[in-house]
Amino acid sequence: MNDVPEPVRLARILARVTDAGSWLRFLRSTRPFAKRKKPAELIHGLEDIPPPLVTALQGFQHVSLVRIQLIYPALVIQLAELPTASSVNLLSLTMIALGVAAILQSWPRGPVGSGFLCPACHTGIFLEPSIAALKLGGLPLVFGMTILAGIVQSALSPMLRRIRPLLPPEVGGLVVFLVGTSIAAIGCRYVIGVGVHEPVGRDYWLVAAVTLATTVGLNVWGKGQARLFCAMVGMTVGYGAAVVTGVLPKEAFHLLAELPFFAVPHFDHGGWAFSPAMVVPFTVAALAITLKGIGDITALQRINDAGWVRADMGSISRGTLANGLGNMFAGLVGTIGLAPSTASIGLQAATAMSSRVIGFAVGGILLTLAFLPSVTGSLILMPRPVMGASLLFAACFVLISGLQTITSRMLDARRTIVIGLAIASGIAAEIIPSFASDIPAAVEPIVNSSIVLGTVTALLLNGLFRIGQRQRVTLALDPTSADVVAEIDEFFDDAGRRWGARPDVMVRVAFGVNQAVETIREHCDPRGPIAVEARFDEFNLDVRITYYGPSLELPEQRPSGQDIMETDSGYRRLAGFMLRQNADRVRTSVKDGTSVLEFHFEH
Amino acid sequence: MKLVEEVTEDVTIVEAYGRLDSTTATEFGDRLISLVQGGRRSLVVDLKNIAYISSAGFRALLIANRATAEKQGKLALCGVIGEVKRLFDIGNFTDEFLICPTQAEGIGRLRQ
Repeated sequence: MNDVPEPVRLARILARVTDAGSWLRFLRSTRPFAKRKKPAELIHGLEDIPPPLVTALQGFQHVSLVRIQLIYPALVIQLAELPTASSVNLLSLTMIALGVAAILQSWPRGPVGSGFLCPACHTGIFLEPSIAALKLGGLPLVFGMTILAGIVQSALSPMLRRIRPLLPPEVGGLVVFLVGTSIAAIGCRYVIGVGVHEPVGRDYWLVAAVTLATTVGLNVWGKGQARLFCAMVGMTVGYGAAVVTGVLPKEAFHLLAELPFFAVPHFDHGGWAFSPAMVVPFTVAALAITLKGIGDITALQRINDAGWVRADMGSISRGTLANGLGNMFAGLVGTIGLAPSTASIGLQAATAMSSRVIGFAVGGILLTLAFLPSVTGSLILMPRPVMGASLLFAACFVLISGLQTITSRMLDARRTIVIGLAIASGIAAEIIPSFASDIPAAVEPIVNSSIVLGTVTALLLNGLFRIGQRQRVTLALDPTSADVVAEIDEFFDDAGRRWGARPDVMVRVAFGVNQAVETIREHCDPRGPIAVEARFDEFNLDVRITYYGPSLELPEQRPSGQDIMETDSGYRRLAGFMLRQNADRVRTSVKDGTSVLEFHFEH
Repeated sequence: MKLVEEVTEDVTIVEAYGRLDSTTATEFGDRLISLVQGGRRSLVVDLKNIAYISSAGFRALLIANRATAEKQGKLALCGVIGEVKRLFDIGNFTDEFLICPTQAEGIGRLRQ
């Protein structure tokens, strides 16, 4: 069958592998069921391929944000009191984990990867459990338990669709909001200089102000390239200001001079260990990371789809699996747990650049950095005021993205309390850390993190409030009553809030029922009450109106203006035409004199 | 429903508030017709404060529009936004009326 000589086949395969065009097509390709409408404000959307230089610079910009979070593994490595060479080697291994995780997340095909530009970074959620594991069993236990967290996350990923009612959109938005507050809190601490080792004074604040002013100025008033690279330019200017003012001391550069420019990282971190005592903290951390990931990927879906209405669980499940595998890989190579970089998502919204190709560029840059110890070493030299200003900038977009997701649904008292108390508990953990001093060790990882505590509060309350919540509601209307309109509006407003429905759909539902009842009262002479029944699940909203009287005509063509003005029939058929146009599906039926009018709305 | 009228030199502006349905459409339509019959042949009807408009409201607007045309006058609508705009769209009424974004533009169009 195959008579092509082996060398020719090999040459063809090589040509295919090295064909830049086919790689670009692959990177652009997406899963067939992901239909998105690119928002007009995006300069380079998910499927676009920016010019190579723009891609590379954007990649560096995202890496600049990811590197800020290196403070977490750096802190754990510091606490492990390793020799400098071993510490830098661990940082190089961290770069490998981050690079692989970035590529896994952007992967557009197969069961792994959200398909978005969604670089990984380290997170404060894993910090407390990792420090506890370090104290109990050293770095091997940290790495072993990180693998366990990755396994938990990977196992959760296929179940997310089924447990979706427990994870409503507003809770996903809440997690993003809490991550925003956490980033903002770290940013504020660094900008003000709370708890930092450097001398804090006029120069320190000046560096923070210069960095923030440059970034914000370029983002708000900048055009073209200036806006795209506002964060990177801001950090560079901040670095310069730090060197000039002495906030970044010259001695810091001596350390870099001792590091080799090129070195292959070696995997000799001492192995892995497991401890039952650490299972709960790392499982909770994995759950929080999963929820944060749901919020992050939901935010990415919103950024990349002008027609976004609800979270697509497919890309969320694949993204969760990618993050789980990324964490298993992180534990294997020897670093602490990873999560999607919410700051990077904020940067995408700020720069209007969300091409997944940039995700591959981020992965490539991070993998390259793993072989350049002196450059990797310089990453952890970033002055705190520069870090703080950059985090504050990214936090603005993260906070708003979370708030938008929360308010995309109608919220009744239950949902308002869920979100309100969760935010309150998250903020309490952030601003009153001492309240967690006398609690059992097993619960400490929950209450020590604003994200974890807020998330757990929201999940528990959401589960509790689901008890007794009805998805089917009924209303009996007296057709002679003068208050019918108010009754209908109040009924559907209440139902929409209870269900957490989309406001735009509920407006259509209320119009349909008002118009139908108005027409039935005017033209059908109903005997007895008009019964309204509405049923809701996340995807469908069905309304059924039952009354004793003739059924309504629902024409496909609108009657002429003359018909509407001059004949009762034309006027009545206009009402029927508008009812048909208003719903996604309508149906009428009559049995024994009782008419049923059914509306279906897609939600 | 509440109607607020403002009479300028040659154009009458009618701002409608509330709901335009079967209980209010007659009052609303009758007022517009009486203005036209009283010699006010250029009407700007501002719907920006209307929360709901049903088939009865559209019928009243169609009749007022015809009455104005019969008197060689003009009727312009403005403030057709949000939910009211959606209802104009689903009822295919957007092309039946002279629709202007603001009162000022409506007045300008009527004076042309």
